[in-house]
Amino acid sequence: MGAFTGTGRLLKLALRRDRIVLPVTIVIAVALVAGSAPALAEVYNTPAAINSYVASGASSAVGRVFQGPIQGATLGSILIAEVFLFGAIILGIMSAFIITRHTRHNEELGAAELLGAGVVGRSAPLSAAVVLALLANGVTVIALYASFTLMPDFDQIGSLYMSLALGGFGLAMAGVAAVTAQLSDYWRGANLLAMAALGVFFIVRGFGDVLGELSADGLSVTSHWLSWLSPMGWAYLVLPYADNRVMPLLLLGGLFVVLTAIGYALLYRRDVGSSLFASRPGRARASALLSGTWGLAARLQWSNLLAWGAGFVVSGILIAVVVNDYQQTFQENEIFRQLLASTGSTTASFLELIIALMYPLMATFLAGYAVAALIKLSDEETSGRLEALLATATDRTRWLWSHVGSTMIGSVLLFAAMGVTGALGFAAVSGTTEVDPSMIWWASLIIVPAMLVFISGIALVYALWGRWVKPFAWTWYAYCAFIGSFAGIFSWPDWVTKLSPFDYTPAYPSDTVEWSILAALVAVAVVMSLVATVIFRQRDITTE
Amino acid sequence: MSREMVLQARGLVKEFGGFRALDGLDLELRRGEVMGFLGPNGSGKSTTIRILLGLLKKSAGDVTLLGEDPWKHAVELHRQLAYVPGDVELWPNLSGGECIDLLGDLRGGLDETRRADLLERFSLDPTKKFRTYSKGNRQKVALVAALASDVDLYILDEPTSGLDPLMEAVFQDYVRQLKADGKTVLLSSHILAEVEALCDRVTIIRDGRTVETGSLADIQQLQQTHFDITTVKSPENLAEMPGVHNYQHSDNTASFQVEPDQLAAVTEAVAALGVTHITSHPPKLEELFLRHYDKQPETATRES
Repeated sequence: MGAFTGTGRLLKLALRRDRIVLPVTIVIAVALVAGSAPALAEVYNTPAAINSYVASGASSAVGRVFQGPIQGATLGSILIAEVFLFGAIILGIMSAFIITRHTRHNEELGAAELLGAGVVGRSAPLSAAVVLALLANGVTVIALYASFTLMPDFDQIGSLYMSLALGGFGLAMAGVAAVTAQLSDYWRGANLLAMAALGVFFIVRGFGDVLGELSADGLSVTSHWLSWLSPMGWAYLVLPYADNRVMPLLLLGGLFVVLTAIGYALLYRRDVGSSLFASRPGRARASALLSGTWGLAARLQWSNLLAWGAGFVVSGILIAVVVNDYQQTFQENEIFRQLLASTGSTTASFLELIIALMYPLMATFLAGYAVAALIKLSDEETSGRLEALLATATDRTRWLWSHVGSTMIGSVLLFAAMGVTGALGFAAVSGTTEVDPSMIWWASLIIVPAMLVFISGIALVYALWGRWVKPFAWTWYAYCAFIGSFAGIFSWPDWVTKLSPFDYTPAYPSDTVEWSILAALVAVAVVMSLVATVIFRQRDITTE
Repeated sequence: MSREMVLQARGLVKEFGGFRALDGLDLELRRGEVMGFLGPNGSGKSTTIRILLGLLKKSAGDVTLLGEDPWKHAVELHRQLAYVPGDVELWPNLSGGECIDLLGDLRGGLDETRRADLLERFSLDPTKKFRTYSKGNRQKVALVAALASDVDLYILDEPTSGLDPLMEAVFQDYVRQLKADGKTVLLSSHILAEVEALCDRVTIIRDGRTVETGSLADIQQLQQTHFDITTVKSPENLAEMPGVHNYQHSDNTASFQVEPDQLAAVTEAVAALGVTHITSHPPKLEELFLRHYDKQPETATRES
């Protein structure tokens, strides 16, 4: 029996297990990148508009961190600046998770042992995962490029290199995960290590670009050599729509090959189920904090709250800085002026308008916090942990609310934190007294009622259909983010945008706050979560 | 009836979509009794237990636990019972000790002395993260959490799967102690030796119905004697004799069970065939078990 025997069968198994999650992820990635292209072409429809955007992006430090080294006044430059990072992160996470899910996660569940005892070679699970990562990235590249062939506004060769750079970065992350899956003895550990690597790649590249050199015309940035130390830097340095370089693509492919080879080498140095880093022991007794249903929920939700909390805090500062840095660009752009005018009264200042626009937009992305927190409900149930809990004197309502309630409280805290960092950030960078910092705090907090509707909607679907909450919540989240990003640019029918609760949030501070709308949102959230509770009390608890 | 009923289920039905997992199941358990709950995979043992725990809602029939409806009064009832699931899955990030304390706390407190004693006797390291435990050790975590609780009723769903014989002995000691303390135990099991060693009565279910219930001594089949014989003449005619059950043979080798009052007649007939090999033993639960599941008790008897 060869080391690779059974790879084909395992690949089929992996394809079957991922038949929903992979297509959905690929569609979201393609929709985000390709879907935003027509919107950008619409907003930046004159050379002057493009010029202004590119000049702001090239000179802003924050712009460089999140938009990469901008390359000249083209629509392609704006596309890279706006969506390339998103695309790279989505494909990077997708690829890393493909590897860990079909290698380390199987081992943790014991399925690998069962499979390994069958006619399956030692290298087969990793090989199947690697082939799946290749397939997923390949399909994404083809789908992306194919969508761009329909958009003549964008240079075709540039679109090809852009698609290849994203797919190449995805593969590099697959290589990283092939190594981390051998390092940690559990799935989440392997994922965390891979995500930490992604974070380092982002930070190193960010520094490289901030330290980069601005061209004489102020429209291009040459990255510092630091960016060449980061695979994410390589993806940007393909410079799609500008130089269209091949060399960084080869580097990404080479890294994928080398890291995968290291993964195989490590695999042969360890036993099935073991790892190079062993788990540390825990406490022998539960601390006073880990007591009761709420204590458990807090323990389970803590890391999620912290991780998203970082996102909220950074977003608050980002909005402040971006509003400041891009003020000129926004003000000069005709579409933006129309967009801003449509969100509020004519008496509102430009700054008020832009704040009213930016916070709800950011909120639709940060709503992922609620999704990540609430899909734990279904994880707890299908794993059998809920059964063990409910067999104690734990009331169903209490359990459901320990998660739904803590997510609601968490949301209030996170939006408050975003408001605080936003207000402080704005006070620090702008120096203007035109906008009161307390306005920014309220602009963030005013989104909470919509968030409560989002949370209780997910809770209701969980109460009704159990495990179906996972695909539902992620799809609704992606939908809300999409609506939040593009609804103002395209005129869609009302019912399309009204399926996102965030669309109801009043435009503050540019418009007067309609308390009745906020009250209605809260009322809807209360009713939905109460109905969810009643339904959940009546239904069977099921395990896989 | 001398003792109070702890659990009473009559005509219990549970349907999942079109599938009938329980089809009129009956089950009774009196205070202070250790009841073996037997059945093959998929026969409805775990479904029954989940109804008793108020996790599933019955489709029809009557069920009371400690005099109450387990669906409506789940929380109050759970203060008086401890449960060990067949497949123990707890929080991967929590240590075994944390899981034990948490479950104990949610049930209303643990007996500290017993907790320490159980950890010691099961030789379980409570500092390891739950995800790093083997199947047997996961089972031990749930067992410690349940057995260290001072409750009236213990519901154990295949609690010893994955335990080695040494740990199995520790488990049996504890159940005997519970019994001595007057506690009530519902023990679902595959391991017949365990049931024979611990249980006062057994209930056997199949396809969601009760097929046999009673004390081990009461169950009719258990009073029969099992024979394996090899004879010179063909033993075929034995099959027709009154009191002979489950007769099977190939060539001159046969196995069968005989009712007590026909024993004399049958042994005489056997002797007349010219015996070259004979073993006989009291019936084992295996034979009863397999008989109810329409399987030939061949492997079981050959081994004995």
